[in-house]
Amino acid sequence: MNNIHFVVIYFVILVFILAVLLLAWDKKAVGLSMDFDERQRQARGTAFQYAFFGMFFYEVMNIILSHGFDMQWCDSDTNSMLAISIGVIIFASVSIWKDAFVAFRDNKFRNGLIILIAAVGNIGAGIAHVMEEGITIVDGKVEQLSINLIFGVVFTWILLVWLLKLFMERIEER
Amino acid sequence: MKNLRLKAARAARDMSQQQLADAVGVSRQTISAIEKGDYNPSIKLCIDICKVFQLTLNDLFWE
Repeated sequence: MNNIHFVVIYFVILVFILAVLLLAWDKKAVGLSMDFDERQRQARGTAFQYAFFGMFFYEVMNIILSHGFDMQWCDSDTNSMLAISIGVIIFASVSIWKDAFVAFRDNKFRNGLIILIAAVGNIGAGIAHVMEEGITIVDGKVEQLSINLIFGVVFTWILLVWLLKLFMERIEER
Repeated sequence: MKNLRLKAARAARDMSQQQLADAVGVSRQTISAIEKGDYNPSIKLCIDICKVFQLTLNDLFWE
């Protein structure tokens, strides 16, 4: 990893800590009520469990394939990002499906719009990155795959699940 | 098991799921899940629902 990667990691950690502090200080300041009802809290707990075991399973498979069969298809940085992405995808999908992704007093459409912007922005940045630098493959392993592209796929998946859920709800209401 | 008594009590008062949800401070989907029997509410939520309808726990939730 070169210096720019460390700068990005420090920046992300700093933003995360500031967001947590802001959230602890005043939830409304970040525009979230975080007001989940008892069923939603239970559903989110289940979603967290699925996400944890999903990540765990992915990592175990990874260790078995890389150490047991010497099969690695990407570098460790990309692999870590993929593991995190799998966790996020599982958590978001399960909680969206159980109506527990956003607090019940929050505006669903505003959250959908934020996800849409994040998906389009990341996909755009990811494609630009890939077009500029290409996908590096060393010894049959993908190296330094664009983080934006991975996040773009994650947000697009979340958006699709959200839209599907919205569609199912409309059918149910009829 | 479906909670038809809750649905009937709500319908008798011409109340929507959303209105009941707002009255007890939960999401509409939670009320829907209780009526469908997909979710077992806590005793606190049961009491809150009973208070809205001015009924007892026996009236709404006892088998």
